[in-house]
Amino acid sequence: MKILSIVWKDIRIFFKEPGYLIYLVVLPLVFIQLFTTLFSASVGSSISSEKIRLVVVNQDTDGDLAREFLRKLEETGTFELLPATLQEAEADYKDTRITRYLVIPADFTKKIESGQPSELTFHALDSLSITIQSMKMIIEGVGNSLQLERNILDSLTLFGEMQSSAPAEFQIYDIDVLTRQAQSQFKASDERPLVSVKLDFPLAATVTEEDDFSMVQFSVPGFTVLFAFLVAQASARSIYDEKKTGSFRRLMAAPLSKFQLLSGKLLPNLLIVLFQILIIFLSSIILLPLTGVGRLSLGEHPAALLAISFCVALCSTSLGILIAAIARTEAQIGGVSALFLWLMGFLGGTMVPLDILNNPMLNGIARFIPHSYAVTAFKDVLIRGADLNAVLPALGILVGFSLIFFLIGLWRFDFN
Amino acid sequence: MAIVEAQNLVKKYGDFEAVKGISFAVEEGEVFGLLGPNGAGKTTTISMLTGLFPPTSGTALINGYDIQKDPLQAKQMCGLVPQDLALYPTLSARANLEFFGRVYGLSGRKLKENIEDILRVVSLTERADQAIEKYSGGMKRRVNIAAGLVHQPRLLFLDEPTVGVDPQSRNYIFESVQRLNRERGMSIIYTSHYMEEVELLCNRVAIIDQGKLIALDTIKNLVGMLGGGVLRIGLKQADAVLLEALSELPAVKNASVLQTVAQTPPEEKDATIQVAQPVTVKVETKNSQQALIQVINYLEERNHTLLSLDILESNLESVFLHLTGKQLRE
Repeated sequence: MKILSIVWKDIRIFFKEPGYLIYLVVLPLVFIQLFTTLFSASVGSSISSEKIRLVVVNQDTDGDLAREFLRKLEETGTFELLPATLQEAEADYKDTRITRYLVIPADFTKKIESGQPSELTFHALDSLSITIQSMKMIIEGVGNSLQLERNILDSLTLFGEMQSSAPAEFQIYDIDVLTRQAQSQFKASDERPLVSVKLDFPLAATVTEEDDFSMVQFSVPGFTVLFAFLVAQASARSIYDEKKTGSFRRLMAAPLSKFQLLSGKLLPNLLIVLFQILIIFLSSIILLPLTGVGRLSLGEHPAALLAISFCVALCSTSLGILIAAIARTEAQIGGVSALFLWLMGFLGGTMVPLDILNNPMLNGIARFIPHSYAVTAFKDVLIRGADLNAVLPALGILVGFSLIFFLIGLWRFDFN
Repeated sequence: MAIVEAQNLVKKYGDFEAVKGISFAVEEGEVFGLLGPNGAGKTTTISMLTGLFPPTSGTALINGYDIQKDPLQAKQMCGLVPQDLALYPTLSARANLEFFGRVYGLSGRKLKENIEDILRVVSLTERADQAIEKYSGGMKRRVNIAAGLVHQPRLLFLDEPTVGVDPQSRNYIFESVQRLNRERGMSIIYTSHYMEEVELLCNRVAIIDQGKLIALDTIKNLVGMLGGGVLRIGLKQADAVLLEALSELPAVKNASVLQTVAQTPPEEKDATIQVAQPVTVKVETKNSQQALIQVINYLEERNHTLLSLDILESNLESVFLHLTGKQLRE
């Protein structure tokens, strides 16, 4: 009851400070909107006069038809093909350095030559976007064209053989027969294509057909984590203000245990972070599409998002206690801790994904920063459709960070 | 029955001893003053009594509860009004009082009744729902006091409540203290370095200096210690011979060089006497009128230049001067 009264008081104070609301809730949405717009513009989201870069994994390295298929694909003038091994493509795709790649199976030529259907796999994160659907159609078109060309050549060869072995009175060139045969081949190619394209995509990236995947899926996790950890500063500030005005002294003189007092100061921060994440996610689903930057998809396992949010809130709260325990002056809390939190945010990959920077040193540093684990966990659920089990290791690490922050904070906390 | 019993309280910060074994008792219904200069150890003593931090050694009982062993029961008896405005400025007076009431375990009708009651006491009922950041300084002071009273404590600690307060608000605080004690029988421990306040409000006074309790009695008895009064004389120089001669005058009890708080520490007093520089000499008298004439005659005969002369009234300021050789507010 006494703890709840402290919680309620702090929440009331928080909502009476419009500055905090703008800083912690409105600002992240502005960042997400700007980042998504700028980043989408820089990478290009639709087919334009520029060639589309497509990573291709050709496992049928010795196959003539595979080489021919790729040549025809390039001849369309739409693609700039980038050869890669399967391992390279998978790693880059996993780390979102690339958002799509095409795999030609090892038995491609063998199957086509023997008249059996062969399947190409087109991996794409943004599976339902117009770009990807158009790319899929072009690849299928090239496949069909390859098949058709092969069928017609086969038919002409067959006619040649038939005519050479037939009696002279039957060796007539019948255009009608050839036309009918060609039409039959077109029909067969359309109904039973030998080359089909299977589109492979993470389930999380698709919600409804109206959804068009956008950079929102990338920017929301990063900025949510960045600003969730910035609440730690507000939490430290709240404790500092209580000490400065003397109300902390008054609370220490009240019949409250230190546990009740500290819990009462921690819980509001936890709830504020959860509220903040809820608002950012809801706004990214409802409001951001109105600005034309796309809509956030919660993935196949939204419950996992709750668990991640809770762990992020816990870690941010513990960090707040640590800052309150270490920072001695208003300037340290206001300036140094903000700088510290923004720096942690950058190094933790909240602003620019670490995959894009691809710097071994930065990646090494990120392993010691909770933000990186939080961002990865959110992305795994939102983009790759991961479930709770898949993100449990990251959550465990976040809880570990929370424990370390809390214990050091408690050890250094000056109740006097 | 004593509502506060402090036994040999000591507080050390590393090598520095802020409170050096203070013992006293406060009776139920008493207004008890803790008087001393800034840095004497008053707030440290109050902090130990209210359970803000534990003493290095010694015990404190609040209504029989040990503040260390039964802190929650002991704290429930107490209200604290700190020197600072320990409030939440964006919340209303009512919200502040509600919060502090709940922290002391009040709820429901009892909480509402107490809040209305204390709002009436501090005359803020009409503006209770306004954020206190919009209040005047005096009104904020009243809410600060109300927050320490909302749970109707049996013992109220007022820690230098008038520092930086305008005269009107100061008078209001005096009236409140007197009314709470008179009408509600509340025991009050009042710390201050303003002797006028302590003289006005308190039944008994403990004088603290450099972490030590140097006197504890009623104001009447403390002032009675001075006998015939004190003369404060400014001279160009004074040596041990002069002080001895003044002490031997018929109407004089004792003469000594006066130290102020900011001046040389006591252990260097003898060295100071030898230095030829303006000094202030304190002359304790059996009869201030007769002593005044004798001292002036003696100084004229010996060609000592008199720089200043004060006849100090018999009050706590003089008592402090008498006990410590220092002035309370220098």
